Amino acid sequence: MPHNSLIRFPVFQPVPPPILPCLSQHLTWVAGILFLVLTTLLLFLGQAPVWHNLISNISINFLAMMVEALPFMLIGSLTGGLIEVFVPVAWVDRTFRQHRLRAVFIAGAMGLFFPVCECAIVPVIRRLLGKGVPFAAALTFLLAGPIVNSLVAASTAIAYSYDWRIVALRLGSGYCIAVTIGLLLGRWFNRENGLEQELRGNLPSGCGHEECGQDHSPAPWPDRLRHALEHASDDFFSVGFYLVIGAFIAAFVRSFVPMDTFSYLLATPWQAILIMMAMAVLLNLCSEADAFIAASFRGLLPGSAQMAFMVLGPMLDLKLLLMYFSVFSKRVILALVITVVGVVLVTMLGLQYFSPILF
Amino acid sequence: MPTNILKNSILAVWAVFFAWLVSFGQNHLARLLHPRLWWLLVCGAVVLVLFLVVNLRRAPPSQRRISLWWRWPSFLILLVPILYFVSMQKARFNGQTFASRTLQTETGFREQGDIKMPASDNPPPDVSSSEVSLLRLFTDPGQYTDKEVEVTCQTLQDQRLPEDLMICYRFKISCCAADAQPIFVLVKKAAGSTVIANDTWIRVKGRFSLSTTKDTRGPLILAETITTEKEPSVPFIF
Repeated sequence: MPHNSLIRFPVFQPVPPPILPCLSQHLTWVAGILFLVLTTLLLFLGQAPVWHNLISNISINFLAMMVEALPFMLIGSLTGGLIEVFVPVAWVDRTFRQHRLRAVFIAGAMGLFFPVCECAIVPVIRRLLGKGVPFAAALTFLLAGPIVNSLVAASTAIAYSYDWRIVALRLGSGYCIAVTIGLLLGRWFNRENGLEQELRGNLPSGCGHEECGQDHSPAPWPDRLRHALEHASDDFFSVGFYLVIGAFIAAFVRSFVPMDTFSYLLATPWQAILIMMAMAVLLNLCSEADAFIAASFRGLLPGSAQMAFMVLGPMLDLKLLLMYFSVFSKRVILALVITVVGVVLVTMLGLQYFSPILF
Repeated sequence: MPTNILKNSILAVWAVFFAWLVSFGQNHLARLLHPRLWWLLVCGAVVLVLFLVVNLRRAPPSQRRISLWWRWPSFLILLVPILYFVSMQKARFNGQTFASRTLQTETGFREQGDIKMPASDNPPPDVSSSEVSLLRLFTDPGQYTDKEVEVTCQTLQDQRLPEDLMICYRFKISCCAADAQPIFVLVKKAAGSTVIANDTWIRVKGRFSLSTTKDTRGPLILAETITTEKEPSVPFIF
C-alpha cells in the first residue's frame, strides 16, 4: 500500500493523570479551608447582637473593595493573556539581548506599553525568559511591570481624586527602585545560577499552549485570541482567591481598628511606613486595586506610608513570593526580599524626611 | 469536567452579580461604590462573559493538572463575597462607625481638620434647591455663616455632649465605602424638643454658625425645625 494512501486512525488520548501537589499547594489548601471556615463562622456570628455591628461593617467594606478591585484584576489578567500570546519573540530579541544595560532601563518602562497585572507577571516573566530576555532585565520588568503601567496610573488617579503628584511619585519611585534592584541583583545572578533547578536550560512556554510563540507557523488570530483568553481565565482562577483573602483582611482591619490607633502612628512616620509595608506583604492585593486601599487611609497615615504600601505590594507579597518559587532559585528569592524591602524603606524614609511637601 | 463546571459557575455568578448591580441593584451599588465608577462593573461583566464563553468551548487539558480536590477551596473562596452580600443588604454605617472613624477626646469629637476636603463641584443627587450639602458646610463654612440652611443627615447623641447638642453626620467617599470618612455638624436643639434615636435620618433647618463647644469643634446649626426623613437613595456624599 503506497505511503500517501495510509489512512490515519484517530487514536484515543486519555486525560493525563493529575499532578501531585507540592508542599506549598498543601499549605494553600489548608489556608483556603481555614479561610472558608473563618468567614462562614463570622457570618453566622453576625446574627448575634454583640457581633452584628462589626460584621455589618466588614460586609460593607469587604463588598465595596471587591466590587471595585475585581474588575481591575480581570482587566489585568486579560492584558497579561494578550501579551503572552501576541508579543513577538523577534522584537524581544532585538530590544533586549543586544544591549543588556539598556535593556534594564527599557524593561523598567515596558509596563507603560504592555500593562500587566502582578497576578499575571510571573507567567509572563517565564515566557520572556524563555524568549531570551536577559536575567537582570526580566527581574526589572518583574518588579516594575505591575507598577509602571497605564492601568495602575489610572486606578491610582481615580483612588486619589486625580492628584497627579501621587501618580507620578508612585510610578517614578517604582521605576527607580526596580531598575536599582535589577542592576544590583544582575551583577550576582544570571540564567545559570538564578533560575529554579528544573527551568535551567529548558524554559517552557509560560501558558502551555502549543500556538504561543515558539512554533514557526503562528495560528490564525482568532485562535490566538482564544488562547489569550484561556490563559487570562486561568490566571484569574490561579490568583483571584488571593484578592478575596486580601480584601477580607483589609476590611477586617478597617472595621476593627479605630482611627485613634492610627492617629498615634501619625506622630512616628517611620513606624507607619514599616506597618504599611507589612500590610502590603500580608494583604496580597492587586496593583490596580491597592491604590484604593491605600487611599482609604488618607488622613490617618502619612503619605509616605501610603506610598510604601503602593510600591512594595506589587513587588513583594505572600502570593508573589509563592509564585517566585516556580521561577527563581531560593538564593535569588532571599536576595530579592532583602533588597526590595531595604530599598523601599530607604526610599520612603527619604521622601518623608527630605520631601514632605510632596504629600 | 467537574473543574470546568465549577469554574464556569463561578464566572457566571460574578457576571450576573455585576450585571444585576449595574441594572436592578443600583440601590445596593450606591451603598458600595461611587456612582461614577459604574463602568468598572460593566467592564468586569464583559470580561467575565468572555472567559465564560471561552471556557465553555475549551478542549480537555492535554497537560497534567492538579486535581479538583486540591483546588476547590481556592475556587469556593471566590464566592465568599457573594455570600457576604446577603449580610451587606441590611448593613449600614452607623454611629459606631462614625465613632471609630473620628478622632475622639474625653469631652467630645474633634473635626478632621487635617484632612483636605476639596469642595465637590457636583452636589449630591438628593439635594434640593433649598438644601445645602453637608460637605459644602464643612469645606466652605464662611459662605453660609449666619444664613439659614437645610441639611439631611443622621443623628448621634453622645453622652459627652450637652443634652441640647447632637451630632448630625454623613459619610464622604472618594471611591468606595471602605474609604468613607465622617463629616458632621453640631445641631443645637430647641428647648423641650423630643429625643431622637441615634442614626435616624433627619432634615434640619436652622441658622448656621461656626461656634464651638468645649473640645468639640465643628460647624453649628441652631435648629428651627427637625423632621425625620427616609434614607436617601445615595447615602454617601462626594
